[in-house]
Amino acid sequence: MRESTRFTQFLIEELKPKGKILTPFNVISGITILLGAVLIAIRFIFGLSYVTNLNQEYPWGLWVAFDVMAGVAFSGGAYVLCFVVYILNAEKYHAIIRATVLNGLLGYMFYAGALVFDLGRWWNAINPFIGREFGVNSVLFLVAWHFFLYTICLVIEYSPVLCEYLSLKRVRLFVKSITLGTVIFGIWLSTLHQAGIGALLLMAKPNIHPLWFSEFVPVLFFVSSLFAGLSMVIFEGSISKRVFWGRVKVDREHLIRHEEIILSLGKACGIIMFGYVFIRVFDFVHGQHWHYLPTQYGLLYLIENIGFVILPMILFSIGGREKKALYVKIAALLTMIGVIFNRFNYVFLAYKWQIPFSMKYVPTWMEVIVTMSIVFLEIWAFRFCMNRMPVITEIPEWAKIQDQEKKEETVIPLKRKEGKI
Amino acid sequence: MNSFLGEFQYVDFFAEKSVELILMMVFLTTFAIFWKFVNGRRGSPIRFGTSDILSWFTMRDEFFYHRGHTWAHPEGELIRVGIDDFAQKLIGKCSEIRVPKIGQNIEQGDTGIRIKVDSTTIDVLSPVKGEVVAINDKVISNPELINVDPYGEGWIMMVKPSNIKATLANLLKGPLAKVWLEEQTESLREKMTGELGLLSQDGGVLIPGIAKAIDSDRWETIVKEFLLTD
Amino acid sequence: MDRRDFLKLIMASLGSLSLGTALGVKDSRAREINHKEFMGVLVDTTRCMGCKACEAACAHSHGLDYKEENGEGVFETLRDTTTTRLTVVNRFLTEKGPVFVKKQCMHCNIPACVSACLVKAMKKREEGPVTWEENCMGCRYCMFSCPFGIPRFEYGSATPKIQKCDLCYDRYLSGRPPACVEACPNEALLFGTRRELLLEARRRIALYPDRYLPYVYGEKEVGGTGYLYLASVPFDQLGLRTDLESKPLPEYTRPFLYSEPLVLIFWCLFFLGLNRITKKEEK
Repeated sequence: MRESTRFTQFLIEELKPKGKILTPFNVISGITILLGAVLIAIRFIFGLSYVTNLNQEYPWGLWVAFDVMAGVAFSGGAYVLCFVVYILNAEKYHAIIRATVLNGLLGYMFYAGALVFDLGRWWNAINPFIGREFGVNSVLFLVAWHFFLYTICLVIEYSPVLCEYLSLKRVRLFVKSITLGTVIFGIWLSTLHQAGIGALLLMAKPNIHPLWFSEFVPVLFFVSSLFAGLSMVIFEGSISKRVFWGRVKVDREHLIRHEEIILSLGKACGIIMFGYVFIRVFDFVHGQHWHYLPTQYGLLYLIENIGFVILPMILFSIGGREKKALYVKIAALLTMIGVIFNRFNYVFLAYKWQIPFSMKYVPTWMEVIVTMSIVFLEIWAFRFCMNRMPVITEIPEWAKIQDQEKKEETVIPLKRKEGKI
Repeated sequence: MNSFLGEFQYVDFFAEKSVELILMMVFLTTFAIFWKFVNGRRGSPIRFGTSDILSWFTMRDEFFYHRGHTWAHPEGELIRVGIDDFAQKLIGKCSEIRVPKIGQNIEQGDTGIRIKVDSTTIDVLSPVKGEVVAINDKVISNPELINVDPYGEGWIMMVKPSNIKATLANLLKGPLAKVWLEEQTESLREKMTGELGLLSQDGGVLIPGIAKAIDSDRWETIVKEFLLTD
Repeated sequence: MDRRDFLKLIMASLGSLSLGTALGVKDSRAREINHKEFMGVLVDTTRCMGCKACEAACAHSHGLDYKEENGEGVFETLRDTTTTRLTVVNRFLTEKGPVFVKKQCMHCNIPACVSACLVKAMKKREEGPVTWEENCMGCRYCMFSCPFGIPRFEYGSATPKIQKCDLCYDRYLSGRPPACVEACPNEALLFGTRRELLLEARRRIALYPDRYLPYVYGEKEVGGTGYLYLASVPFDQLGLRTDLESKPLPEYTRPFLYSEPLVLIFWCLFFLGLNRITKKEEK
């Protein structure tokens, strides 16, 4: 009895906002979210055409391109960093793994979750999971299942933080023990659904402009998710620094390592993007797409690839080499814009390219508001967690002791073996 | 009406493959160059001093410190006085300094030294009690020396103490001083919401100074809080 | 068995499950030929008069709210299928005079929309028609993938449906031909098995070489479609896409789907190995 009342008191206390309520950011985001809620209600009550400009030629628009495709690509930082920290055992990046996993988890929950708004017959959304018939030949089936399972993986990867927050000691031990398996499974899930989002476009070959379409679209999307995710980590890290470092007592390791990590990730992005550029060059030369360059689409293609891929790649490389964090941050922002632009091209800009630009789909302001409100909601959730949970702050003493004991556990059996010999 | 590639006429499919091979070689060579470029500077890795947050601010082990962030270094019968690295970084670039006149008597904990940062005057407490016997002309004409070398060329004045033992007894030294600086660093860090890039690798402060960067409107209050000149 | 082994077991089972699933894709093609053959429609554009009886009959048969449009002006602009008009006849002015072309779902042999549908709401029936069912989620992936841009979505409804020609599947099951075929006064539409229709199309081409272009549209496009067209002028003049390959569109996703189990196996082994190799020795 007392436990539950204590917990409810804890809950009420935690739900109170930390920090000033009426900041400009809060006001703007709050209004946007409210407006977004109204728009979503209209969408559900009346239908998609009341809120969106989606039409018979353009079935997918801003919501799919931004929330699902770009949003998921940005959340890819989680699997890349889990690979680096848990598979390659690179201690250096350990400091930001929690914030990255949190961002990834919230990304999948909010952006992939926002997909439901786009589904015309959303009450059937559980069908791919527990329906009567499974369209196993569909790439979307694979993507849906991977999203679902991967969100569970992210929850497991984040749960040590939750356990520390809620003082669930035994649960923490358990989840820590299954982390490696979860991470491996999660990286597989991520590889295939990031590539899978690209594979969604494969059957649309007749409709996607040749400058973008390639049989290797899945590979392109997978590779771009690598640097999109890392760019988001850099971006989020910079913003978190400005917002949270004064507010919460940041863990010492995090403070020290932060700049180092940003530079290394920037360097890595630069290198990955070099590979990406070459894959696109291969496609271009292979398909002999020269004659497409002096067209409107050629211009779009050049802007996307030179301005938002090659330019940030150069900035990343210089920044990584000269240890200039500012270049890396600018490059990260440019990269993120580039990824969004790239997804837009595949979904509605360079899609049905035979249709003249004047008749193409353009998102309504309402679609933009709804998208923004999802972004803001995710930021609110992120802020909620950062302010209260040990994401970048020191973990509680009992957790440190648990980890120490775990480490000794793996050493002692070794000693015992040696003793026998 | 479309017929398939190669249905009725010869199609050279070797040409494609040779283009691919050339491209692959181009990739390998350009990538090698790119890799070398990115990994270029075998230089100083980012470190805040010795990867320890303490090294934001330097100390001299043999100096005595007043809690108002001034130092005192006994040299024979006289004591040399200056402000410490923490204070120097906190207030920023000194544009002018006013010191007590030679012959003036000052009390420990009294405000005697006044440093001007742009248009604002900052008071600094004297760490020792005694008579001012010398002032550093170099620092008067070039106040920036305080920022550049606070423990060396940036010394401010020499004092002849009335009772050297008593005056030094109130000051911190060695491990005690270290702990005190650590605590001060912590409280300063707690105030920081801005870029840590304020501190460059070698610890030199960039204009305008940490306090100003934390709160450009009320930076004086922060300075007074730490320099104990409320 | 410790947790790690347990997890490996789960992963291995899932891996073999997905491998089996991927192989299952191949299996359905290697299945024995059963008695049912694809039905289709041959559209002879040299016989179509543009009366639009097919449009009305189709809408009527499906209970759709169809507005009759008559008069010369109706063909001035190209009309398209909509959520209430599942087939449409357009007029194209060619060097051989006006040609009327009926547009509707092509009922592909290996449809992109069927492959796309993750809940199997789009089904390719054994008899040939591609039909839509109500367990649809409204994701519109079928619309995105269709090379002919056929499925129509009721965006303005809170309970939207996908609308497209279904080759009157339910009429067929009760032994009747599609409504449009029945309504056509000039026998421009012929209903039969795809095999028979191709034979008939080739017969007409052979018998009347001046009347027909020696090409059956839909014979090979995207792997072959249920609707076949004959014409006297090149098909791109008739609003039909001639830039489509003979490879069925679902074939493009095959390599990707196959990679799922392969990547699983490779990633598991590789990552576990990497993890072990890079682990620092604790003294």
